[in-house]
Amino acid sequence: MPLPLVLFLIVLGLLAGMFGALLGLGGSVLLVPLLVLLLPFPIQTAIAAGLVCVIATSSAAAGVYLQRGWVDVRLGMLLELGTVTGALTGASLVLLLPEDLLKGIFGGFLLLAAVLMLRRPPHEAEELTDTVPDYRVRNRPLGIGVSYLAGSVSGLLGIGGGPIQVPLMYLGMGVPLKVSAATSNFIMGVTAAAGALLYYNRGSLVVAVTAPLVLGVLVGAQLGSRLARRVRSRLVQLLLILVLFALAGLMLAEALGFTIPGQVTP
Amino acid sequence: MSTVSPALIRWIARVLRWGSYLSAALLLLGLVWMLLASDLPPQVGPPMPLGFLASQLAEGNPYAVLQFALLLLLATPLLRVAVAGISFWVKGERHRSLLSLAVLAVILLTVFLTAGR
Repeated sequence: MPLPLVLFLIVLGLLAGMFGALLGLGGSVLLVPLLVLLLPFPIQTAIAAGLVCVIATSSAAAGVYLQRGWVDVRLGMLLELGTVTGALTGASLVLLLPEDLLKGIFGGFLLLAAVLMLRRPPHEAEELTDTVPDYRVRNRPLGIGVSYLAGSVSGLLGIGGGPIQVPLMYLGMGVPLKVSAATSNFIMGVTAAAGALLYYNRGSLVVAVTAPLVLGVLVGAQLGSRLARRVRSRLVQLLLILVLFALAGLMLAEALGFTIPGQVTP
Repeated sequence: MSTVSPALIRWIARVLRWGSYLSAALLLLGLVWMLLASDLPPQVGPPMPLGFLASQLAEGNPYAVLQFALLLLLATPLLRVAVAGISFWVKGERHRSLLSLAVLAVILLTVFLTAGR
Protein backbone atom coordinates (compact mmCIF):
# COMPACT_ATOMS: atom_id res chain seq x y z
CA MET A 1 0.00 0.00 0.00
CA PRO A 2 1.59 3.33 -1.05
CA LEU A 3 2.50 5.85 1.67
CA PRO A 4 0.32 8.72 0.28
CA LEU A 5 -2.80 6.52 0.38
CA VAL A 6 -2.04 5.34 3.94
CA LEU A 7 -1.56 8.97 5.06
CA PHE A 8 -4.74 10.00 3.23
CA LEU A 9 -6.73 7.31 5.08
CA ILE A 10 -5.22 8.27 8.45
CA VAL A 11 -6.12 11.95 7.88
CA LEU A 12 -9.63 11.00 6.71
CA GLY A 13 -10.14 8.94 9.87
CA LEU A 14 -8.67 11.70 12.01
CA LEU A 15 -11.03 14.37 10.64
CA ALA A 16 -14.08 12.09 10.86
CA GLY A 17 -13.16 11.05 14.42
CA MET A 18 -12.54 14.64 15.51
CA PHE A 19 -15.79 16.07 14.14
CA GLY A 20 -17.69 13.04 15.37
CA ALA A 21 -16.37 13.50 18.91
CA LEU A 22 -16.94 17.28 18.85
CA LEU A 23 -20.65 16.74 18.32
CA GLY A 24 -21.14 13.31 19.85
CA LEU A 25 -22.23 11.98 16.47
CA GLY A 26 -19.64 9.22 15.97
CA GLY A 27 -17.01 9.38 13.24
CA SER A 28 -18.54 6.73 10.99
CA VAL A 29 -21.48 8.93 9.95
CA LEU A 30 -18.94 11.06 8.06
CA LEU A 31 -16.41 8.34 7.31
CA VAL A 32 -18.63 5.90 5.39
CA PRO A 33 -19.92 8.43 2.80
CA LEU A 34 -16.45 9.98 2.43
CA LEU A 35 -14.97 6.54 1.70
CA VAL A 36 -17.71 5.76 -0.82
CA LEU A 37 -17.34 9.11 -2.55
CA LEU A 38 -13.53 9.35 -2.55
CA LEU A 39 -12.36 5.75 -3.03
CA PRO A 40 -13.45 3.21 -5.63
CA PHE A 41 -14.45 0.55 -3.09
CA PRO A 42 -17.87 -1.09 -2.77
CA ILE A 43 -20.10 0.46 -0.10
CA GLN A 44 -19.88 -2.82 1.89
CA THR A 45 -16.14 -2.19 2.39
CA ALA A 46 -16.88 1.32 3.69
CA ILE A 47 -19.62 0.01 6.01
CA ALA A 48 -17.31 -2.71 7.39
CA ALA A 49 -14.57 -0.12 8.03
CA GLY A 50 -17.14 2.19 9.65
CA LEU A 51 -18.24 -0.54 12.05
CA VAL A 52 -14.66 -1.32 13.12
CA CYS A 53 -14.13 2.41 13.77
CA VAL A 54 -17.29 2.42 15.94
CA ILE A 55 -15.81 -0.45 18.01
CA ALA A 56 -12.52 1.44 18.44
CA THR A 57 -14.08 4.71 19.62
CA SER A 58 -16.70 2.95 21.74
CA SER A 59 -14.13 0.77 23.54
CA ALA A 60 -11.77 3.66 24.22
CA ALA A 61 -14.50 6.02 25.47
CA ALA A 62 -16.54 3.43 27.42
CA GLY A 63 -13.57 2.72 29.70
CA VAL A 64 -13.59 6.39 30.78
CA TYR A 65 -17.40 6.68 31.08
CA LEU A 66 -17.56 3.50 33.18
CA GLN A 67 -15.10 4.86 35.71
CA ARG A 68 -17.03 8.15 35.91
CA GLY A 69 -20.15 6.14 36.80
CA TRP A 70 -22.12 7.35 33.78
CA VAL A 71 -22.85 3.91 32.25
CA ASP A 72 -25.93 1.97 33.36
CA VAL A 73 -24.38 -1.49 32.87
CA ARG A 74 -27.55 -3.45 33.69
CA LEU A 75 -29.67 -1.43 31.28
CA GLY A 76 -26.94 -1.64 28.65
CA MET A 77 -26.78 -5.42 28.90
CA LEU A 78 -30.53 -5.69 28.51
CA LEU A 79 -30.72 -3.37 25.50
CA GLU A 80 -27.75 -4.90 23.71
CA LEU A 81 -29.75 -8.08 23.20
CA GLY A 82 -31.97 -5.93 20.94
CA THR A 83 -29.16 -3.99 19.25
CA VAL A 84 -27.05 -7.11 18.56
CA THR A 85 -29.97 -8.99 16.99
CA GLY A 86 -30.75 -5.87 14.97
CA ALA A 87 -27.14 -5.45 13.82
CA LEU A 88 -27.04 -9.04 12.58
CA THR A 89 -30.33 -8.45 10.72
CA GLY A 90 -29.05 -5.19 9.19
CA ALA A 91 -25.72 -6.70 8.14
CA SER A 92 -27.56 -9.67 6.56
CA LEU A 93 -29.97 -7.33 4.76
CA VAL A 94 -27.05 -5.65 2.99
CA LEU A 95 -26.60 -8.81 0.90
CA LEU A 96 -30.11 -8.45 -0.49
CA LEU A 97 -29.99 -4.75 -1.36
CA PRO A 98 -28.42 -3.31 -4.53
CA GLU A 99 -25.44 -0.99 -3.92
CA ASP A 100 -27.23 2.09 -5.34
CA LEU A 101 -30.19 1.57 -3.02
CA LEU A 102 -27.79 1.36 -0.06
CA LYS A 103 -26.21 4.65 -1.12
CA GLY A 104 -29.67 6.17 -1.42
CA ILE A 105 -30.64 4.96 2.08
CA PHE A 106 -27.39 6.39 3.47
CA GLY A 107 -28.01 9.70 1.66
CA GLY A 108 -31.51 9.86 3.13
CA PHE A 109 -30.13 9.10 6.61
CA LEU A 110 -27.56 11.92 6.29
CA LEU A 111 -30.28 14.32 5.18
CA LEU A 112 -32.41 13.37 8.20
CA ALA A 113 -29.40 13.76 10.54
CA ALA A 114 -28.70 17.24 9.11
CA VAL A 115 -32.32 18.35 9.56
CA LEU A 116 -32.48 16.96 13.12
CA MET A 117 -29.20 18.69 13.96
CA LEU A 118 -30.61 21.99 12.69
CA ARG A 119 -33.38 21.68 15.26
CA ARG A 120 -31.12 20.53 18.11
CA PRO A 121 -29.78 23.04 20.68
CA PRO A 122 -25.96 23.27 20.88
CA HIS A 123 -24.00 21.33 23.51
CA GLU A 124 -23.75 24.25 25.94
CA ALA A 125 -27.45 23.86 26.66
CA GLU A 126 -27.03 20.24 27.75
CA GLU A 127 -26.09 18.83 31.14
CA LEU A 128 -22.64 19.96 32.21
CA THR A 129 -22.40 18.63 35.78
CA ASP A 130 -20.54 15.41 36.66
CA THR A 131 -23.22 14.05 38.99
CA VAL A 132 -25.89 11.61 37.85
CA PRO A 133 -29.41 12.27 39.23
CA ASP A 134 -31.55 9.42 40.61
CA TYR A 135 -33.87 7.90 38.05
CA ARG A 136 -36.06 4.88 37.46
CA VAL A 137 -35.89 3.08 34.09
CA ARG A 138 -39.32 2.65 32.49
CA ASN A 139 -40.67 1.15 29.24
CA ARG A 140 -38.16 -1.73 29.03
CA PRO A 141 -40.06 -3.64 26.29
CA LEU A 142 -40.18 -0.46 24.17
CA GLY A 143 -36.46 -0.06 24.83
CA ILE A 144 -35.60 -3.54 23.53
CA GLY A 145 -37.82 -3.04 20.46
CA VAL A 146 -36.35 0.32 19.48
CA SER A 147 -32.84 -0.99 20.26
CA TYR A 148 -33.43 -3.65 17.62
CA LEU A 149 -34.14 -0.83 15.14
CA ALA A 150 -31.00 1.07 16.24
CA GLY A 151 -28.92 -2.10 15.79
CA SER A 152 -30.42 -2.73 12.35
CA VAL A 153 -29.47 0.78 11.21
CA SER A 154 -25.97 0.23 12.60
CA GLY A 155 -25.48 -3.09 10.79
CA LEU A 156 -26.98 -1.75 7.57
CA LEU A 157 -25.11 1.57 7.39
CA GLY A 158 -21.93 0.94 9.41
CA ILE A 159 -22.60 3.64 11.99
CA GLY A 160 -23.20 3.68 15.76
CA GLY A 161 -26.85 3.62 16.77
CA GLY A 162 -26.52 6.72 19.00
CA PRO A 163 -28.88 8.94 16.97
CA ILE A 164 -31.71 6.46 17.74
CA GLN A 165 -30.54 4.98 21.05
CA VAL A 166 -29.88 8.21 22.96
CA PRO A 167 -33.31 9.83 22.34
CA LEU A 168 -34.95 6.47 23.13
CA MET A 169 -33.32 6.19 26.55
CA TYR A 170 -33.59 9.90 27.36
CA LEU A 171 -37.14 10.60 26.19
CA GLY A 172 -38.72 7.14 26.20
CA MET A 173 -37.15 5.41 29.20
CA GLY A 174 -36.54 8.23 31.68
CA VAL A 175 -32.73 7.91 31.70
CA PRO A 176 -30.71 11.16 32.18
CA LEU A 177 -29.09 12.48 28.99
CA LYS A 178 -25.51 11.93 30.12
CA VAL A 179 -26.23 8.34 31.19
CA SER A 180 -28.13 7.75 27.93
CA ALA A 181 -25.19 8.94 25.82
CA ALA A 182 -22.60 6.94 27.83
CA THR A 183 -24.73 3.77 27.91
CA SER A 184 -25.45 4.05 24.19
CA ASN A 185 -21.70 4.32 23.54
CA PHE A 186 -21.13 1.25 25.79
CA ILE A 187 -23.73 -0.79 23.87
CA MET A 188 -22.52 0.24 20.43
CA GLY A 189 -19.16 -1.53 20.79
CA VAL A 190 -20.71 -4.99 20.96
CA THR A 191 -23.42 -4.03 18.45
CA ALA A 192 -20.83 -2.93 15.88
CA ALA A 193 -18.72 -6.02 16.63
CA ALA A 194 -21.68 -8.27 15.77
CA GLY A 195 -22.21 -6.50 12.44
CA ALA A 196 -18.49 -6.28 11.66
CA LEU A 197 -17.99 -10.02 12.21
CA LEU A 198 -20.58 -10.74 9.51
CA TYR A 199 -18.83 -8.37 7.08
CA TYR A 200 -15.51 -10.00 8.00
CA ASN A 201 -16.97 -13.46 7.31
CA ARG A 202 -18.19 -12.24 3.94
CA GLY A 203 -14.74 -10.88 3.00
CA SER A 204 -15.90 -7.24 2.90
CA LEU A 205 -13.38 -6.07 5.51
CA VAL A 206 -10.30 -4.78 3.68
CA VAL A 207 -7.54 -4.89 6.29
CA ALA A 208 -5.11 -2.45 4.61
CA VAL A 209 -7.85 0.20 4.26
CA THR A 210 -9.50 -0.27 7.66
CA ALA A 211 -6.28 -0.26 9.73
CA PRO A 212 -5.14 3.33 8.95
CA LEU A 213 -8.73 4.59 9.29
CA VAL A 214 -9.07 3.08 12.77
CA LEU A 215 -5.80 4.68 13.90
CA GLY A 216 -6.91 8.05 12.51
CA VAL A 217 -10.35 7.83 14.13
CA LEU A 218 -8.85 6.92 17.52
CA VAL A 219 -6.48 9.92 17.46
CA GLY A 220 -9.20 12.20 16.02
CA ALA A 221 -11.71 11.22 18.71
CA GLN A 222 -9.15 12.06 21.43
CA LEU A 223 -8.44 15.43 19.81
CA GLY A 224 -12.14 16.13 19.35
CA SER A 225 -13.02 15.43 22.97
CA ARG A 226 -10.23 17.79 24.13
CA LEU A 227 -11.21 20.49 21.64
CA ALA A 228 -14.88 20.24 22.63
CA ARG A 229 -14.24 22.37 25.73
CA ARG A 230 -12.55 25.16 23.75
CA VAL A 231 -14.44 25.37 20.48
CA ARG A 232 -17.85 27.07 20.18
CA SER A 233 -20.32 24.20 19.70
CA ARG A 234 -22.71 26.29 17.61
CA LEU A 235 -20.00 27.01 15.05
CA VAL A 236 -18.97 23.35 14.74
CA GLN A 237 -22.61 22.32 14.60
CA LEU A 238 -23.32 24.68 11.69
CA LEU A 239 -20.22 23.46 9.86
CA LEU A 240 -21.26 19.85 10.37
CA ILE A 241 -24.79 20.55 9.15
CA LEU A 242 -23.33 21.96 5.93
CA VAL A 243 -21.04 18.91 5.54
CA LEU A 244 -23.95 16.53 6.20
CA PHE A 245 -26.12 18.27 3.59
CA ALA A 246 -23.25 18.17 1.06
CA LEU A 247 -22.52 14.47 1.71
CA ALA A 248 -26.24 13.62 1.55
CA GLY A 249 -26.51 15.38 -1.82
CA LEU A 250 -23.44 13.59 -3.19
CA MET A 251 -24.57 10.17 -1.93
CA LEU A 252 -28.03 10.64 -3.42
CA ALA A 253 -26.45 11.79 -6.70
CA GLU A 254 -24.27 8.65 -6.75
CA ALA A 255 -27.31 6.51 -5.99
CA LEU A 256 -29.03 8.05 -9.01
CA GLY A 257 -26.09 7.16 -11.24
CA PHE A 258 -24.21 10.48 -11.44
CA THR A 259 -20.40 10.12 -11.30
CA ILE A 260 -18.65 12.20 -8.64
CA PRO A 261 -15.26 13.53 -9.84
CA GLY A 262 -12.09 13.35 -7.69
CA GLN A 263 -11.94 9.68 -6.64
CA VAL A 264 -8.57 8.44 -5.36
CA THR A 265 -7.19 5.30 -7.04
CA PRO A 266 -5.44 2.89 -4.62
CA MET B 1 -30.00 3.67 38.63
CA SER B 2 -29.30 0.05 39.58
CA THR B 3 -25.77 -0.39 40.88
CA VAL B 4 -23.12 -2.83 39.74
CA SER B 5 -20.14 -3.73 41.93
CA PRO B 6 -17.14 -1.38 41.56
CA ALA B 7 -14.90 -4.43 40.96
CA LEU B 8 -16.94 -5.45 37.91
CA ILE B 9 -16.90 -1.88 36.58
CA ARG B 10 -13.11 -1.84 36.97
CA TRP B 11 -12.76 -5.17 35.14
CA ILE B 12 -15.00 -4.18 32.25
CA ALA B 13 -13.23 -0.81 31.90
CA ARG B 14 -9.86 -2.58 32.00
CA VAL B 15 -10.86 -5.07 29.25
CA LEU B 16 -12.15 -2.28 26.99
CA ARG B 17 -9.23 0.06 27.59
CA TRP B 18 -6.49 -2.54 27.18
CA GLY B 19 -8.20 -4.16 24.22
CA SER B 20 -8.29 -0.85 22.36
CA TYR B 21 -4.76 0.17 23.45
CA LEU B 22 -3.25 -3.15 22.44
CA SER B 23 -4.97 -3.24 19.06
CA ALA B 24 -4.01 0.41 18.38
CA ALA B 25 -0.37 -0.40 19.20
CA LEU B 26 -0.43 -3.46 16.91
CA LEU B 27 -2.09 -1.42 14.13
CA LEU B 28 0.65 1.20 14.38
CA LEU B 29 3.34 -1.50 14.34
CA GLY B 30 1.75 -3.24 11.36
CA LEU B 31 1.35 0.00 9.38
CA VAL B 32 4.95 1.11 9.92
CA TRP B 33 6.13 -2.41 9.01
CA MET B 34 3.91 -2.41 5.89
CA LEU B 35 5.32 0.93 4.74
CA LEU B 36 8.92 -0.19 5.37
CA ALA B 37 8.44 -3.43 3.40
CA SER B 38 8.61 -1.78 -0.01
CA ASP B 39 8.53 -5.08 -1.93
CA LEU B 40 5.14 -6.05 -0.44
CA PRO B 41 2.28 -6.27 -3.00
CA PRO B 42 -0.79 -4.14 -2.07
CA GLN B 43 -3.53 -6.15 -0.38
CA VAL B 44 -6.98 -4.72 -1.08
CA GLY B 45 -8.94 -7.98 -1.15
CA PRO B 46 -10.72 -9.96 1.57
CA PRO B 47 -8.89 -10.88 4.80
CA MET B 48 -6.75 -14.03 4.82
CA PRO B 49 -8.30 -17.26 6.22
CA LEU B 50 -7.73 -17.78 9.96
CA GLY B 51 -5.70 -20.95 9.41
CA PHE B 52 -3.34 -19.05 7.11
CA LEU B 53 -3.14 -16.06 9.48
CA ALA B 54 -1.11 -17.92 12.13
CA SER B 55 1.56 -19.02 9.65
CA GLN B 56 1.72 -15.52 8.11
CA LEU B 57 2.17 -14.01 11.58
CA ALA B 58 5.04 -16.42 12.18
CA GLU B 59 6.58 -15.39 8.85
CA GLY B 60 6.32 -11.70 9.79
CA ASN B 61 3.77 -10.58 7.20
CA PRO B 62 2.70 -7.02 8.20
CA TYR B 63 -0.80 -7.56 6.74
CA ALA B 64 -1.18 -10.51 9.13
CA VAL B 65 -0.22 -8.21 12.03
CA LEU B 66 -2.86 -5.67 10.90
CA GLN B 67 -5.50 -8.38 10.54
CA PHE B 68 -4.66 -9.80 13.97
CA ALA B 69 -4.96 -6.27 15.47
CA LEU B 70 -8.39 -5.78 13.88
CA LEU B 71 -9.55 -9.21 15.11
CA LEU B 72 -8.38 -8.29 18.61
CA LEU B 73 -10.41 -5.08 18.37
CA LEU B 74 -13.48 -7.03 17.20
CA ALA B 75 -13.07 -9.47 20.09
CA THR B 76 -12.71 -6.76 22.77
CA PRO B 77 -16.44 -5.96 23.24
CA LEU B 78 -17.27 -9.68 23.16
CA LEU B 79 -14.71 -10.29 25.89
CA ARG B 80 -16.33 -7.52 27.95
CA VAL B 81 -19.71 -9.28 27.62
CA ALA B 82 -18.11 -12.56 28.72
CA VAL B 83 -16.39 -10.93 31.73
CA ALA B 84 -19.68 -9.34 32.83
CA GLY B 85 -21.53 -12.63 32.36
CA ILE B 86 -19.03 -14.61 34.45
CA SER B 87 -19.00 -11.96 37.15
CA PHE B 88 -22.82 -11.92 37.40
CA TRP B 89 -22.82 -15.73 37.58
CA VAL B 90 -20.31 -15.74 40.44
CA LYS B 91 -22.41 -13.16 42.30
CA GLY B 92 -25.52 -15.34 41.88
CA GLU B 93 -27.31 -13.04 39.43
CA ARG B 94 -28.14 -15.89 37.08
CA HIS B 95 -30.68 -14.02 34.91
CA ARG B 96 -28.14 -11.26 34.16
CA SER B 97 -25.55 -13.89 33.39
CA LEU B 98 -27.95 -15.63 31.00
CA LEU B 99 -28.53 -12.32 29.23
CA SER B 100 -24.79 -12.05 28.50
CA LEU B 101 -24.74 -15.66 27.39
CA ALA B 102 -27.68 -15.00 25.04
CA VAL B 103 -25.89 -12.01 23.46
CA LEU B 104 -22.72 -14.06 22.90
CA ALA B 105 -24.68 -17.06 21.64
CA VAL B 106 -26.62 -14.97 19.08
CA ILE B 107 -23.39 -13.43 17.72
CA LEU B 108 -21.32 -16.62 17.64
CA LEU B 109 -24.12 -18.74 16.21
CA THR B 110 -24.75 -16.26 13.38
CA VAL B 111 -21.03 -15.98 12.64
CA PHE B 112 -20.70 -19.77 12.65
CA LEU B 113 -23.73 -20.24 10.40
CA THR B 114 -22.55 -17.63 7.88
CA ALA B 115 -18.87 -18.68 7.87
CA GLY B 116 -17.48 -19.26 4.40
CA ARG B 117 -20.48 -17.77 2.56
